[in-house]
Order: sequence, then C-alpha cells, then structure tokens
Amino acid sequence: MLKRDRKWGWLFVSPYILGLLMFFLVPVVTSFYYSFTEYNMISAPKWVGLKNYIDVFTEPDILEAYRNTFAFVIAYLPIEIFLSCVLAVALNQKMKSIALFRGIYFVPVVAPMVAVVAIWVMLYNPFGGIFNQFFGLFGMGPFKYVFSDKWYVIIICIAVLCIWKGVGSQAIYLLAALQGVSEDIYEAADIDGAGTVTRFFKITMPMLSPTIFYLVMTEMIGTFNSFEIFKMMTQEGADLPVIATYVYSAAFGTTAKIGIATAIGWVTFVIVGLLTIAQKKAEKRWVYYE
Amino acid sequence: MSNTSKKMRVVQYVIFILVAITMIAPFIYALAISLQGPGLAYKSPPVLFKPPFMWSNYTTILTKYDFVRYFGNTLLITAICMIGGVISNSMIGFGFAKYDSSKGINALFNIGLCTMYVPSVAMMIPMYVIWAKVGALDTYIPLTLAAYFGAISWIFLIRQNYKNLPNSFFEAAYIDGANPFYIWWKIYMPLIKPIIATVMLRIFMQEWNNLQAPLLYITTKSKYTVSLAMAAISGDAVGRPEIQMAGAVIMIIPVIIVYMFAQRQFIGGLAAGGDKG
Repeated sequence: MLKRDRKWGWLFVSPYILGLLMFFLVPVVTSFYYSFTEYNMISAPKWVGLKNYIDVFTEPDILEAYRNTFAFVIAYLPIEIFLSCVLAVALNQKMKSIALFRGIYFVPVVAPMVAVVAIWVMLYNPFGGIFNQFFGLFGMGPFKYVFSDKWYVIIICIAVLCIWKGVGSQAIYLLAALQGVSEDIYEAADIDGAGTVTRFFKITMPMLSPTIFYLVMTEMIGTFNSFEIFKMMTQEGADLPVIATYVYSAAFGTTAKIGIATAIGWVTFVIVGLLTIAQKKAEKRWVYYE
Repeated sequence: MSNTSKKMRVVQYVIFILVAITMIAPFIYALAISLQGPGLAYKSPPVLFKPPFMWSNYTTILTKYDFVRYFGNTLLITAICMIGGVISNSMIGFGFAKYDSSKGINALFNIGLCTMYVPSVAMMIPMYVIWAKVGALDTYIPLTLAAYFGAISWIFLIRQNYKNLPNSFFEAAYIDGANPFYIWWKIYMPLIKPIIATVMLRIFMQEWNNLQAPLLYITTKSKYTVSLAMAAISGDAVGRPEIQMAGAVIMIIPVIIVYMFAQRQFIGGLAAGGDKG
C-alpha cells in the first residue's frame, strides 16, 4: 500500500482538534475549577474546597432531583425496550403494508419535542382533557396526571409520553438486528415444538441482546441529559425537578450558582461512568454474541 | 393459507392499525383544536372538526405572534449548521478513515469516542460561562459555530462509510498528481452521498427541534427560534389552546414533509448508527 503523507491526515482532522479544545477541553477544565468555587458570574470565583460536592450529597432538593432522574429511568427504559422488541418482531415480516406502518410509527420520533409536549399537556389537562373525558365514561377520575402533587404519578405520565415518542425509533434499530437473525434457528425451534412465546424469550431476545445492550446504554445516558421534555413540563406546571433542569435553574436563578451547577455535572459524569462500567460487566453475562 | 394463519393475519392487522392510531391521534387532535374557535378546547363531549373552521388561528400565530420571523430565524440557523456539519464531518471523517495508519490520528479518534460519555448536563453551564466571557450571548454564534468543528457521532458514521470504499482510488489519483484535498472532495465525497444526505437531514431535525441552546443563549424576542417561541407561548397565549395548537401544527409540518420525502435516509441512518456498540 502506498504510504500516505501524514501531514495531510492531520490537516483533514485539524478542525476536530480545534473543536475538541474549544468545545470540550476548555469547558471541562474550567468547570472542574468552578466546581470547587463559589461563582456568580459577577464577582471573581471564591475557592470553597469540597463544599459544593458535600452539598450535592446533602442538599434535599438535589437528592430529590437525582431520585426523580433514576426513578424516571426505571419507569421508562425497561417498558420501552420490551415494547419496541415486540413491535420489531411484529414488523419483521413480508407484508406489503409493513413499510406504511413503519413509516407511521416513526412520526412521533421526528416530531419536535416542544410541540409534542404542548399537545400532551392538553391531553393530560385535569379539567376536561381527552384522557379524563375518556376515563370519565367509566366513572373513573378525574386524574391530575403531570399536574399531580405525587412525584411518581408525574414520572409515570412523562414516561408514557416518552415511550409513545421513542418506541418507533428503538423498534427500527431492533428490526435491523432481527433481519440479521437466520431463519434456521426458528425452523429448528419449530421442529422442537417451541411456541410463539417461548420463541420470543428463548431465541429472539437473546439474538437481539447486543442491540438491546446498545440501546440501554445510549438511552440511559440520554435520560440523564434529557432536558427539553422536563423543562417544558416544568414550564407547563408539572412539579418534577430532575438533574438537567436543576442544573439549569441553579445557573439561571436569581443569583447564578455556577459552582454547584458544575459540581452536579461532575457527579453526574461519575454516576454515568460507573453505570456504564457496571453494564459492560453485566454485558458478559446476558449478552449473546454469535 | 390455512384458516388459523388467516385469522392470525387479521389479528395482526388489527394490532398494527390500533398502534398506528395511537401514534397519529395526538397530532390529529392538535389539528382539530387548532381549527376551533376560542373556549371549545375542553368541552365535553369534544367538539372536533366542526365548522366553522377558524383558519384565522394560523394567521394569528404567524403574524400577531410573529412566527414568520421565528421561522426565518430557525431556517437561517439550521442552514448555517447544515453547511458546516456536512463539510466538517465529511472532511474529518475522511482523515480518520484514510489516514488510520497514523497512531496519533487513531488515538485522536478514540479520544473523540470517549467524549461521548461526558453527559451534556456537565457541559451546558461551563460552555455558557465561556460564551458569556467572550461576549457572544444573545447572538447565533453559540448555536452555530460548533457545527463547523465536527461532531463525533456523525464523524463516526461517515468514517465507517469511507472505510468501506477501496483505497485504490486514492492511490491512483495520488500517482496522477491530484492532491488529497481534491481526492476527498471530488472522488470520495460524491461516493458517500446517501450517508451525507442522512447526516444533513439529521442535523436539520436536530436544529429545528433544538430548545436547550436557544433557551440558554437567546434573550431578545426578535431573535427567537420557533422552538423557543413555542416554549414561551404557553405564557403568552394563556387560555388560547387553539392558538398554541396552531403553533404546534405549523412547527411539525415542515418536519413531517421532510420526513415523508426522505424516509429512507432517516431510517437507514438510524440503523447504520446502531452498529456502534
């Protein structure tokens, strides 16, 4: 093979080096420094040592934001992954209309979150929203949904929205993986007399496990980052602080608390890192690679 | 076809249709509300698609609530990001794909992959402080400049596609005296057009739907994006859900149109990104 001039290679990637410096290294280093200071963006940062980190683990509001974030992951992720597996299996057949259905299931995925939240807040309206009218027909409710004063009710309602919005996208990933599964395995299972449910749990799920693993990882990090839905919901009146919205309001409150906001960022980074390592360890036990 | 498998088919279709209705119904509902007169949104039983249709809700949102301007702003930002994203990611991806014999360049790529694990929550505030220090708040610079320096997820996707193309084009053109820049732009880039289209579309979606960055950086109302205006409208148009839904509908329509014409690129790009793990 011809030896290529490395100088050209570095030239090609040079924008990325600049980008890493400006949009990654500088903010990472400065935020590490700020996390040990008290800084309101007006007067100079004042060194306070570990105070911000102690606050992160003791301040009830922050702990509540962490609890809500974790609870949301638990309420949302397993159900969404399960439903998208079912959907992917259902979509994995030779029917003419499949492309049409697949296209429709993807519409919520591409729709802007801001608009989607506006619509769902109407559906969830406690006074005459469609959901309450529907449950009212059976003599149930009225419920308060995202306006409830119980945090777990709000979490479930937001999780329902997110599952509705995301299931089409996860199903597409899984469908791509399914199409790589060989028919022979199913035929062998048929001969052994395995039923539909057995086939789903004993063959399909294990064959999909690498993709499921990938989705769990990205969705989990994504949930810690998800800002827009919670910000929009809070703005509409749902009382559910999560990490991302807490950080935002700490930095943009009446006095900016950059120190605490950056400390939460670092703690979250460590949590996500630990979860990633734990999942990688667990991967060896439950993910099946051909 | 046996009788039972025919029955299975029917059951399957029924389920498919029910799921499809669930996916579409909220949008139809929004459309119905957006065409109502005031005060009808929470009537029981619901008054949906009943004349007279108030098309004036749309003129109200576009002119009185200034959405025409916000559309223009959003299009401008989206276009700047798309141009930057396509050129930078393609160029950087080419470097990572065809100069991978260099240890340094490979190491840089791996560092880039690691940055994906840093949650954006951790980057949001320090980035804001930096833009505040250089005096770029309330401009479009914080919303667009980063697009010109590549984003690792797109670089990853594009690099993969360049890697699948043979090196022999490069070598042949190089011997003929073409410089590597020309080889990238004129020979390799046209060959990965489908994936470039995917990246363009995804950047379009990302920018069109983006709320976080405009919320952090834009304060002057005339500079708002559509998403920011939509987020603010529940405060501006209190008690006028039909106006709000008209806003939601016109925000969704461009996305749906782009999606309908480019469904393959979208879904293809998603599935291709799935090989990462």
